[in-house]
Amino acid sequence: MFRGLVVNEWLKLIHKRRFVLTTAIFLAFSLYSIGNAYYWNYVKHPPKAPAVIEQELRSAITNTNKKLATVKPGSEEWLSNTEYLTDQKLNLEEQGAIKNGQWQVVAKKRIAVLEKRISEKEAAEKEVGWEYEELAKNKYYLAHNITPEWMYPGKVGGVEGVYSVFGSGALLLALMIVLMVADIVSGEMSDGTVKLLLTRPPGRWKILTAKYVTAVTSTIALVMVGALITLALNGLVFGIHDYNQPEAVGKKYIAKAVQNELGITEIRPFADGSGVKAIPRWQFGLAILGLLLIPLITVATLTFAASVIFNTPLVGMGLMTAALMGGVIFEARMGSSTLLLANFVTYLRLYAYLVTGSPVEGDPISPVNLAGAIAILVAYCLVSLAAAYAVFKRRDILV
Amino acid sequence: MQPVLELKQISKKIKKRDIVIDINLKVFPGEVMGFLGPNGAGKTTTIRMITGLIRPTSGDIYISGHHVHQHRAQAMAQLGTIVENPELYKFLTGRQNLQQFARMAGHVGPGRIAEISEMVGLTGRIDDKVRTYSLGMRQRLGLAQALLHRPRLLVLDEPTNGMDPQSMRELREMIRKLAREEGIGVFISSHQLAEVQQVADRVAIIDKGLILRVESLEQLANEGRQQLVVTVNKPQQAATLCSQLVYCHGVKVEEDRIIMELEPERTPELVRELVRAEIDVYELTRRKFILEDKFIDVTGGDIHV
Ligand SMILES: Nc1ncnc2c1ncn2[C@@H]1O[C@H](COP(=O)(O)OP(=O)(O)OP(=O)(O)O)[C@@H](O)[C@H]1O
Ligand SMILES: [Mg+2]
Repeated sequence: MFRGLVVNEWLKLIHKRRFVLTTAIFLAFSLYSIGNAYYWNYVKHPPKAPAVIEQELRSAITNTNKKLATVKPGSEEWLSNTEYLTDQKLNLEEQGAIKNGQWQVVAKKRIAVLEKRISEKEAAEKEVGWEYEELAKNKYYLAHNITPEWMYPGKVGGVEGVYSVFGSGALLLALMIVLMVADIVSGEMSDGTVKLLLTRPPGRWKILTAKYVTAVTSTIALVMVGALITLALNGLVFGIHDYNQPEAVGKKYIAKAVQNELGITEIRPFADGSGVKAIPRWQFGLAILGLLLIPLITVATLTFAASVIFNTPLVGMGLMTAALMGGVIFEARMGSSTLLLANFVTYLRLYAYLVTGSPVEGDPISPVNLAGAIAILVAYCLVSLAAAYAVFKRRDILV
Repeated sequence: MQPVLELKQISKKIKKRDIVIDINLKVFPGEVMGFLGPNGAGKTTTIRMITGLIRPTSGDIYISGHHVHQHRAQAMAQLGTIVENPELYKFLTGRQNLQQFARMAGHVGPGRIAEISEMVGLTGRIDDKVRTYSLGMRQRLGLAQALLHRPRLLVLDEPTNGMDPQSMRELREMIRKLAREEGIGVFISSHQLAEVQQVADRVAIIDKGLILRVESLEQLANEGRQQLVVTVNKPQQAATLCSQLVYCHGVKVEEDRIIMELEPERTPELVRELVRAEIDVYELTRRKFILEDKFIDVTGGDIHV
């Protein structure tokens, strides 16, 4: 019986063309994103000939050597230029490996360089972040015998394209979910069809639960269908050969008191790469989708509650759109604050915890960790659901 | 016999206003009860309470003995209804609408949808979107969804709204048949009095939230005297005259006619009085007291209940 109620709700969603509409809008965005990636990688920055790249690297090395001769050994500038020189030399060796296939040699050298650099920097209490990430990736190439991406110059990864679409499209997806869910209850109120629903044997809470289940499953379905189609399109255009390339996760930022140029102590974000590890790109993509689903389900839940509490779809839709857009604008202007951290919209970027440890762009130090962020979203869901059920259970249907 | 519908001391206040006051009603299996009242009388409000859409402020409602709120599922399983307008899912076809309700009833057999669409005369259009239906066709589909799960009680709120005379007749026949042959109790609201008169066994008359009377149709039709309708040149003057005559009752003026109740043998006497007062009489007719007048009498306020 309950399954029948969910089937009913899904059929309504489909026949109202809500699901098709939202999927199509997301798809348009996805296509735009693919076009953009194509333009960026093949038109604006077309792959360079290997000879050109080698020539550029050689001149960079020559220039850096000249510069090093002029600066004081051991100074900050000398150190950074030495680092740059080492990296350019390794890059030049990569070009050789592309021809002879010996990427393992380069990877091993990189690992040695990075490990040395990390221990030196840590001894000097300097920031170490991306070095850990590079280290983890290079170790991953060797451990799993994965040919690094740089061995295929000019080849863009299609799998990477999928989750970059979802990362930048989180707000759009949230708006699509609002569009899909906003009239799930209030639409029946304003159309009067709620009378047909509530004069049947299943009680009100069952009807409402079937609708909530539909709101959540359709959210999941939208993300899944969107991901699959985006993957298929990216795969067609770029290929999915990069599915097993490593991605580094687990970098965090900590607050650290440092002296600035004027000798004043200030708190700065300091990268902490000690927890970094590499996971294959397909896993990374799934993790992003999973972390995206949590705030999106929260959006669906809040929209659902608004749809129960307000009898006109436009009110719920307006409120949710305003909350989402307002939240995003607020974040851009205000940076991190208690108010921002209490706002569910901030956690649309929950996936950012994977790579920076904070959902707030521009402020990588978050007093709320991932578990805390999820707890905040769950609290939003529980409170709004409690309100929705309480209102619906006893409401007089006077439409 | 257990009533299919029983209202016990039902009252409803909306925003501190009394909309329905202390209603007691019983509808028995096989009986058609008309629920008559002018606009805003509280018919739809009462029906909303019967169908569980709103809660009475006080009192209890039972459908086939099941309390509408305490044993909701059992009560609703026995109920088929159209409340106010036949609002159906416009973006679904007629058949898809019925399938929705079949899933909610749980025990609707596979042939039932075809059978019911045939019964309400929608077979040809059942696979069209409801968006394309006329109002009358929506009423038919509304009736189909109400009857789909073979309820014991049918509650219809002004079901003939938007129907043509032919459809109205068909509906009346269907309701009578359902009541006679299947023993369904029917509660049908209307302010179209003639329509109720042709289908109901009993009539409950409601005004300003109060049930004024519940009467069988014969009782209503037989009580009181016959009416005399006199067409004259000076109706106001004639009416004043007649009001003074002891044997004339309930004198009213309607355009150039005066209408009153009096015994047939007194008619020549009345005519003599009119002629003596130099009032010209053009036409004299008798008519039987029909429900419409009774209804106006009952709810008209100034005239005795
Ligand atoms: N939602 C509401 N809020 C306040 N008052 C209401 C509401 N719904 C109905 N009423 C009032 O209740 C009274 C009865 O209304 P109801 O709809 O039951 O009348 P009705 O007999 O069905 O009339 P009609 O013949 O016009 O359909 C009216 O005075 C109406 O104004
Ligand atoms: Mg009404």
